[in-house]
Amino acid sequence: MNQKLHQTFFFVLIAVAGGAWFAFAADEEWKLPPETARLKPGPGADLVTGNCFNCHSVDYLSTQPPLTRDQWKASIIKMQQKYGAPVATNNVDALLDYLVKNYGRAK
Amino acid sequence: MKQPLPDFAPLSRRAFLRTAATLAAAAPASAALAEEIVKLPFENGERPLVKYPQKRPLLRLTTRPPQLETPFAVFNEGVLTPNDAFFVRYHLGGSPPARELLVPEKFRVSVKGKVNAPLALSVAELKSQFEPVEIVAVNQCSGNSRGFFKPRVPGGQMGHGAMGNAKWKGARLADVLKKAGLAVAAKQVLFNGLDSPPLPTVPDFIKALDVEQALDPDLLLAYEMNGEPLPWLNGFPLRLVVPGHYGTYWVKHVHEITVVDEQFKGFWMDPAYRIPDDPCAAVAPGTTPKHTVPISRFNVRSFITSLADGAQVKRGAALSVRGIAFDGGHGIREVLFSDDGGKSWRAGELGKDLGKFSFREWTIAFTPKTAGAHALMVKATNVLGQSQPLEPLWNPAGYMRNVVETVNLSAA
Repeated sequence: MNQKLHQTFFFVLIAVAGGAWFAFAADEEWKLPPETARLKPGPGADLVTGNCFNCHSVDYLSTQPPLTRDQWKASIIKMQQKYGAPVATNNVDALLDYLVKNYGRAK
Repeated sequence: MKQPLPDFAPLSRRAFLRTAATLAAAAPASAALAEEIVKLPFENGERPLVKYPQKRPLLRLTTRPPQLETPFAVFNEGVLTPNDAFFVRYHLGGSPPARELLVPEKFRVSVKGKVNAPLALSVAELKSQFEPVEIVAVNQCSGNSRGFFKPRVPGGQMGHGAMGNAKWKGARLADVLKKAGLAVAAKQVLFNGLDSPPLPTVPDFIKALDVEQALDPDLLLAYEMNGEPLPWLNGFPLRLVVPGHYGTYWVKHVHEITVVDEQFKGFWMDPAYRIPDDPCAAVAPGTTPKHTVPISRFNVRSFITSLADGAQVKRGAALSVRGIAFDGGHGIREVLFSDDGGKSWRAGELGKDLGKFSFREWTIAFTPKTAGAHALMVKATNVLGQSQPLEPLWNPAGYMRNVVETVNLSAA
C-alpha cells in the first residue's frame, strides 16, 4: 500500500515536472529575438530615436540604400501624413540633416 | 553537388570578424554576440542570420515588425519551401499578434457586413463544417528582389528570398461566404488580421478583394501549410491564400471578413501597394506614374537554384543545372536556358507539375567547355505566352521585378 502511494507520488511528480518543462518550452517557442541594430551616434540621433522608433526598429532605416535628401524627405512625409507618425513639422529639417549625413548621399 | 555560394554565403572569416567588430562597437555587450552575416549583392546588403521561433536562421531585414528572408540556397532543396525556411513579412509594429489571441479557445474568424447570416467560426468549425481543399501555391512579396532595382528605391531591401512555395490546406473562402450568404448589394470583401498598429493613428492592415474574385474557388482560408499548422510567423492559426497573387493579399491571422457595398479606400489599397496602370507595370526610371492600380497577379519569373552567382566550376565537367519557374497561375509552358549570356537559347526539361500556381522545377545539362567566364541565363514563358524581359523594368515602389536573371560562373 505504502509502495503504491510512493509510486503514485512519483508519477505525479514526473507529470508536474514534465508539464512545467513543456510549458517552458512552449514559452520559448513564442519568444522573439531582441533588437540589436543601433543607430549611428551623432547630432540628431536622439531626435530620430524619439520620432521613429515608437513604430519600428532601427533596421527599417539602416538597411535602406543611401538616399538623397529629397528621398529621405519623401519618406518622412509619408510616415507623417500616410502612416500617422507624430512627427512635428519643425523637427523635419533636423531629422533630415541626421539621416542624410549618416544614411544618405549628396545626389 | 556542393557549389560555393559566394553571393548568398556567409562572408569570409576576415570580413565576418570585421562586421562582428562593427556590430560590437555599435551595440551594448549583451547584444554583441557574433551573428553570422550574409552579404546580398547590392550596396548595404549585409543581413544577419537570426533564429526565430519555428524557423531556422533566416536573413533578418527588420526586427520590429519582423521581416525575414529565405536564404536562396533553400530553393534548391526542393520545389516546396520548408515551413521553417519560409519568408516572413509584417507591416505593423504590433506584429506578430500575441499567442493569447491565437489559441483555439479564443480565436474566431467573423464574417459580417452585407451578409444574410453573420458567422463566427473557430478553426475546428472551419475544418468540420467545410470541405478541406489542398492547393500548392507560391507566395511572393510584391517587393521581392527590390534591392536589385537600379536606380535603387526606398522600401524593404530584399534579395530574391521573399518568396516560397507550399501546399496549403483550408476551407474555400467561397464556401464560407456562401454559408453567410452575400447580400445583393455586396461589392467588396475586406480582410483584417490580428496584427495591430503601433499607434492609434497608424492605419490597420486591411486588404480588399472584389466579390467576384473572393468567390473564386482557388482562394482558401488556410489552416495548414505543408501538412502542419501554420507557423506563428506565417499567420497561425488562419491566413488567406490568394494563389497567383502577391503576398500583400494573403492576410495573416485573419479574424475579420467584412462584406461591403462600396469600393474600399483604406491606406493599404490606396496609396499603398499600387503599380503603374500599364501592361508592364513600369515607368521610365526615376519618373512617377500618372495612373496607378492595385498590384494583383505575379508576372513570370525563373531562377537557377543549383549554382550561385560567382560559383567556380570545373572545365569539362558535366553539370545538371536546375531551377524553378512560376507565374501568376496560368502555368509554365517553357523554360529556355542560355550558357552564352543570351546569344543562344535551348529548352530545359520541365519537372513534375504540382499545379498551375506552384514552382515548376526545370533541369538542363551543361558542360563548361572552356576555361573562364560563363554567363548562364534562364527565361520562362507561361501558357499565355507571357515571358520575362531581358532588361529590367522599373517602378518607384520597387515591385514586380522579373528580368531574366544571370548567374556568372568561372570555369577552371
